[in-house]
Amino acid sequence: MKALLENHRVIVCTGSGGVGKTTTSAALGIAAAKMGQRVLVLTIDPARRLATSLGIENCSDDVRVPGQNFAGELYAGMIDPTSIFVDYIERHSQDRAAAQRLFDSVLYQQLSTTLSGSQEFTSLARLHEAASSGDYDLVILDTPPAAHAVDFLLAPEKLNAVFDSTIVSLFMGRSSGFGLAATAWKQGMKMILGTLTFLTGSEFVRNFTDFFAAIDAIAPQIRQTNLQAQQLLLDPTTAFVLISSFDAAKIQEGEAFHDQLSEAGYHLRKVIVNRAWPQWSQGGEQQQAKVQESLLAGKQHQLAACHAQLQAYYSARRALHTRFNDLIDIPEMDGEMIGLPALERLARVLLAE
Amino acid sequence: MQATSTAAPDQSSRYGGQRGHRIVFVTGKGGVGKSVVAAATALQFARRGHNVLLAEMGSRSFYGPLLGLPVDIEPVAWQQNIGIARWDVESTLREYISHYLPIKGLTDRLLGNTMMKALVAAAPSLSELAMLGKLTAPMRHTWYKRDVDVVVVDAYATGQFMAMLRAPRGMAQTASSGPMYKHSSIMAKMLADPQVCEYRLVTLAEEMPVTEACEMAQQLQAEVGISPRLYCNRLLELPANIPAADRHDPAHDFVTQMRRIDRLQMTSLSRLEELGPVQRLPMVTRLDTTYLLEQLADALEAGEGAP
Repeated sequence: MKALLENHRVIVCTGSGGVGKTTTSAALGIAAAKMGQRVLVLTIDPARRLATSLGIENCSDDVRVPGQNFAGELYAGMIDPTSIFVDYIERHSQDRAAAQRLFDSVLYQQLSTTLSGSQEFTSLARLHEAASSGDYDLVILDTPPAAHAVDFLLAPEKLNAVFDSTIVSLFMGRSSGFGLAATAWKQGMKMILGTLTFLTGSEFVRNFTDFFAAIDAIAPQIRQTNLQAQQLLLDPTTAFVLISSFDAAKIQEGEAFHDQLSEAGYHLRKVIVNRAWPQWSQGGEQQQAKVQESLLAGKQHQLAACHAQLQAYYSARRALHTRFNDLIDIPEMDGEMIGLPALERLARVLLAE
Repeated sequence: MQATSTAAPDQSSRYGGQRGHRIVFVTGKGGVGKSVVAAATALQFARRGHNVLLAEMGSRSFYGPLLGLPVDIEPVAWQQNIGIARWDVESTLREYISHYLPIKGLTDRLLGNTMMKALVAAAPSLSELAMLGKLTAPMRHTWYKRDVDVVVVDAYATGQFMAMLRAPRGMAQTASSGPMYKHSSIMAKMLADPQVCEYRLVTLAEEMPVTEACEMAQQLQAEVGISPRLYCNRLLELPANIPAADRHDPAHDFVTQMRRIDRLQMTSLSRLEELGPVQRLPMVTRLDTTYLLEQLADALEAGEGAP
């Protein structure tokens, strides 16, 4: 774990929803700060109390996490996709009028919030900016919540599809070439636009073409940023960490994602299987027998039965098969992880590894 | 199993299609067990004698690996009376548009992957409408047959689910004519019709999930005027008033944790109950998937009996 934090400039924490990704990212940040690094943790949509303990509530700039006493320094930043996207477009548009045309288009308003891939895009744009700023030794990115870990990697492709120059041209009625094939394409496009007009009325389609006309100006920039971000992700100094929880479905998904990452050439350096055992269940069988004894002596029969059942359940889960051999037992903290001290405890667990 | 038909027989015919076809949306924050509760809901309806389609939304199947089935766009049989299908936005939208394209033969070439991705990405409401369109098609058209009477939808998680519900009204505002306008207006009515749609909101007895569930219940009420049924998942059955254990007692850690969970469950349930009745689903402490789903279906059925 120390080597992971020492040898990389960027760590991307991936994993599906509900596995403790944000918490683990924050704990990794603390671990790196303890080792003397200047580290930034970028997170999207953190639980409110986690945001409060990192000091990033209602704040879009990077902030020095309050109440820290580490050899290094810990910074945190919240990714707000909407404002980053606006900022991005303003910076990269040729002029204010062009940016305004885009903001005014009805589709843009849906795009910036619900476009699949826009959260990922803004995360990557923000990551790239932070990593190339020279302000930090290490930047840790907590990837946006998604049903599946692999969604993060597919996002740029989805977004590229929108900004693909041929698609933009087609919607704007420009021909993408010469000859029969191009003519057939144009005819086809006409038919699609015709069908869409029939289905949705002319206004909707006009919104559509307005939108594509407006993004035409910025599309090359977006493609460029996507490309730079991809290069950053593929760089050997960028480590991927896969976080998974210890249940059958998540493990299966994690193993599949593991293979996809490796195939695509990313550097998956660590798998953290967050097993979240409750503290009381850490003791061995002898210890648990004593718990039973004590509960029964106190005539707590129902509680004793409950203990026996839960104990059996956790033992069975411990025996679940996974080909990951790098498991970390992360003790279950009080409900959701809160406050710097709790995160520090987790950081110690990670570093002790 | 006793057949207590919850579908009012003649109600949905007013939309022009199949009668007594119901949609049950199951939603909730990621990680609360929404998909598992949706599968148990499908079991619950099948036990009552309904023909059920369990539809999952998204590009990857959850049920495929879980149940060891080749789940894809066309339904695959899981149990007697239950089929499982996975609907992804691209193919659903392609299906929808190609239905209206004048020359069918061109569909595949014109609506290739890049084009569909661009459409889906640039006009998200279009894909959400296509999704809802497919879901409600049997109730709107006589020609669209689906051999089931209940569709249980393992729907998107909170935010995206609300975006989907808002899509028809949004489209009815942007598109002023054409079939899409007509469909959107009808779909908006159907989503707000308690005889057609039921909303099940799953949560856990933890602070964040409860907060999110409360917010979502209010949004649902505001959007479609129907209160969701609330399900609190993974509840531990604990004795009342667990006495604190002495620090040196070997059971101290366990007892402390159980007291904490007890408090958390009580506050969570009372917060949820402010919104309406809450069905309690047990934490199932066995790893066997079939057993888990059967247990949850039992709990769902038992909860239904309660007032």
